[in-house]
Amino acid sequence: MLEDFAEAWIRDAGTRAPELLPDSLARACASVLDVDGAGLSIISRPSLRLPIGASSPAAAAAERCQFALGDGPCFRAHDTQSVVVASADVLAREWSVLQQDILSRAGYRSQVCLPLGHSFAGFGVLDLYFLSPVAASAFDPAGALRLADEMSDVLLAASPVPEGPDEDEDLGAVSWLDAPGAQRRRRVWVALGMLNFELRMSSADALAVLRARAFAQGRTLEDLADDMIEGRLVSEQFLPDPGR
Amino acid sequence: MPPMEVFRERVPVPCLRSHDVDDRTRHDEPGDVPSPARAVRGRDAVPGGCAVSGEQPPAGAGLDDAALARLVAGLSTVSIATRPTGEVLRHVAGLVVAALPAAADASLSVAHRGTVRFVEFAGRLASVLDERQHPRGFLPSAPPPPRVLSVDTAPGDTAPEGGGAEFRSVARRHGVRRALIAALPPAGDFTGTLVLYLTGADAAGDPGEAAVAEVVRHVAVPVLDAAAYEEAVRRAEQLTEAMRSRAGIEQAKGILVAVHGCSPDEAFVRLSRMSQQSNRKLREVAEDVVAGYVRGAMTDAG
Repeated sequence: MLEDFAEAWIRDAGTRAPELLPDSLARACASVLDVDGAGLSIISRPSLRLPIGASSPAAAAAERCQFALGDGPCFRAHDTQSVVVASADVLAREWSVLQQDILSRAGYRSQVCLPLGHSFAGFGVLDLYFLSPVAASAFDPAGALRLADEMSDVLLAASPVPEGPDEDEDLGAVSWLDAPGAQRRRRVWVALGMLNFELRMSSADALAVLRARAFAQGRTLEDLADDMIEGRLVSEQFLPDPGR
Repeated sequence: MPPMEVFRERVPVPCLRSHDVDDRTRHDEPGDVPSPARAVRGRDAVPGGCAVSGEQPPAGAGLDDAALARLVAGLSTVSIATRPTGEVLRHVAGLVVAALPAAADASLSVAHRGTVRFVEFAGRLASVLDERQHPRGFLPSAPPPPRVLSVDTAPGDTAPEGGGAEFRSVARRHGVRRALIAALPPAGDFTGTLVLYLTGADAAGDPGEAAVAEVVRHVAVPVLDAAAYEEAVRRAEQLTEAMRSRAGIEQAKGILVAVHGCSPDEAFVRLSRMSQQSNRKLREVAEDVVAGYVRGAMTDAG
């Protein structure tokens, strides 16, 4: 399993661009496991979540659904530091809105989520997606857990942290924290800053109104952030209409 | 090709778990990964492997089966995840001294990418022989495992490899007759060194090369795993910090976009300028901007 993964990864990683490392890990992971999509994210509670790698556009879309709702099996996997198996019936019972969202945007019907770095505090999750509604229940997570450990090691070794305890991080250096998905997610943080200032809102409230609008309009937080930054959407539109 | 080997070629992997033991031992020379029994019987001394001075004991001398069994049993109870690395090293050095009665003291050091991170002694020689208190190169370099460097401290003797005149003189002043220096089989970016300090007047009981190599083979796993684990934890914590500081910078950019009606890129230029002018870090300036305008930073949002 690990040998297959390493071979798949080397075949995939044609480029050494550091920001594309997690994408190639996710694709190698999806190619050796019996899954239809894989995604890697890093998480810092309460609300920071960066999608760093996805095996396909559908896997990336499924992650955005979970972030837009701020809930889902991946958050539970991180919070509990355990494997969460979400077959279609589990999704229907616990995350029915998310279930509809992921089905319509990504086509997945079940998923398994595993913590990254679970041997210590945990710093992210590996999401595995399935087209079949029951495939998640039949999936043996043992091999996937080993892959999650290996990918954690690779990511930590290549992470943009100072080498010594007293050194500072080099913010100018490109790393996998600058993965394409992460760069899009950062625009959400810019939009939250705009709402902070323009509506005098706390960050928690700003994130809540952004999520509410995304839900009501069936859009992602990234789309709304683009609209705000490019002036198509202004903060006042988040306020309740006083005329109604 | 085993996967860890593949990973090392592309990205340094700091965290090795116990299942990588086999991988590590492959760094030894072919055929020189003896079974404990073979090693202690002393039939497998590496020809020409020991850079020595003075009279040498048989290769397997100084370590009997019972002592080795006690060492292995002691090592099996070392918990790397619940104790700081320095404590693990000190404990393991103590187990080594207990297994090799001829050694009055032992030190274990671990380096990450060539920089010494930890040095621990079982006993009191730490106060004078800790290599970190001396200029770089104080401790003579160990040959690749399973070879062992033997350094006699008597004034007339010279160590054929590694030099170490200052080391020999300090060690001699503190009653050390001979030091045996052995590298641990490396694991990823981590390397380690075991030094045995022999003090008795009689060299007859000194551990032989095969005995030291056998001890090194066993202690390498918990010692290097402990260091790798601590490094992985440190990296994970700093990774979280890196994500939080980036989030703070983006949030501050958003505030400046709203305040000045500029683009995010222009907001970043403003932040950078503020950072340069105040001679403060970008993330600190960003924190100030956020604190100045809003209740609760993004990183506190629930």
